[in-house]
Amino acid sequence: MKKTQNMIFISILVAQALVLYIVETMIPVPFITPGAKLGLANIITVVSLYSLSLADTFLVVILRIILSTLLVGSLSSFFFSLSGGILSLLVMFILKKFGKENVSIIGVSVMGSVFHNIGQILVASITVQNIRIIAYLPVLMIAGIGTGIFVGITSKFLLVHLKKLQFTKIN
Amino acid sequence: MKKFDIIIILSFILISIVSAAWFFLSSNKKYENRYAEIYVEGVLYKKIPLTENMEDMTIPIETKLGKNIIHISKGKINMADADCHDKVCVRSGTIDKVGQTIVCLPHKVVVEIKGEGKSETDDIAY
Repeated sequence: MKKTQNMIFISILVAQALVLYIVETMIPVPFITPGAKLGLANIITVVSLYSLSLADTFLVVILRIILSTLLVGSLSSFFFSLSGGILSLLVMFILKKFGKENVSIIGVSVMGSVFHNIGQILVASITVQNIRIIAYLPVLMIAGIGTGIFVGITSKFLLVHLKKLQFTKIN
Repeated sequence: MKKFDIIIILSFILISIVSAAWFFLSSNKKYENRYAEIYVEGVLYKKIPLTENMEDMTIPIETKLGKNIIHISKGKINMADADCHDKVCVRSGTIDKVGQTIVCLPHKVVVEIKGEGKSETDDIAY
């Protein structure tokens, strides 16, 4: 992939992630527990992970978080997204690297969704200085498995189409 | 779906069931006294004993971050109103068991029910 192509590909992914993020805020989700949501923007993180290098994926995640904070979020939501996003990206990267043939995109995205929630819970308990908040974690974990499977399947279909682009290397 | 996928999903389900059961058991113990603790920005703001036949009370909390109104009725607590943007704390509903919490993250307000007496293990000591 040429440098310009790479740059444009990153920008397109960031734009898509932003749209998904904003659309997600408009979808009414049944209120199960604080913090439970679909995590549609995670689709783009998973796709980037499978089509770009770690550094570029990191860039996609950081840009998406900064821009979404400017568009719809607040300062507190920035730190939640940041911790969840970075933690889930690192965990997904490690799992993908060491799982190799034994793990598919679904397992990677389930891991990512659950660790996104864990990261957010950690920051939440630090902000209010109360560890009791982890009581929400079991429910959030189950929710994370559900959304993770959904995100994984969606990303799989998206990657099939991205393969048709001449310059993308799906790994 | 490959081998690791199934292992990952099953282990997450197992972890959440075990921890949910642990939280459930610890909240279902019998306590002699229950009381609500309200924390604002990590500092204890008010401690209210909870009983079945207590008077209804409304506790307004106003900080530079925003305003919350906590309502206590017959030993049950709910967040009646808050001027935060997502209203997660209001939608959290009513709590009445030891260990349950209502959290308002934007305003850093935590309402927690604690209990003392009659329980064998003191799991509220942290």
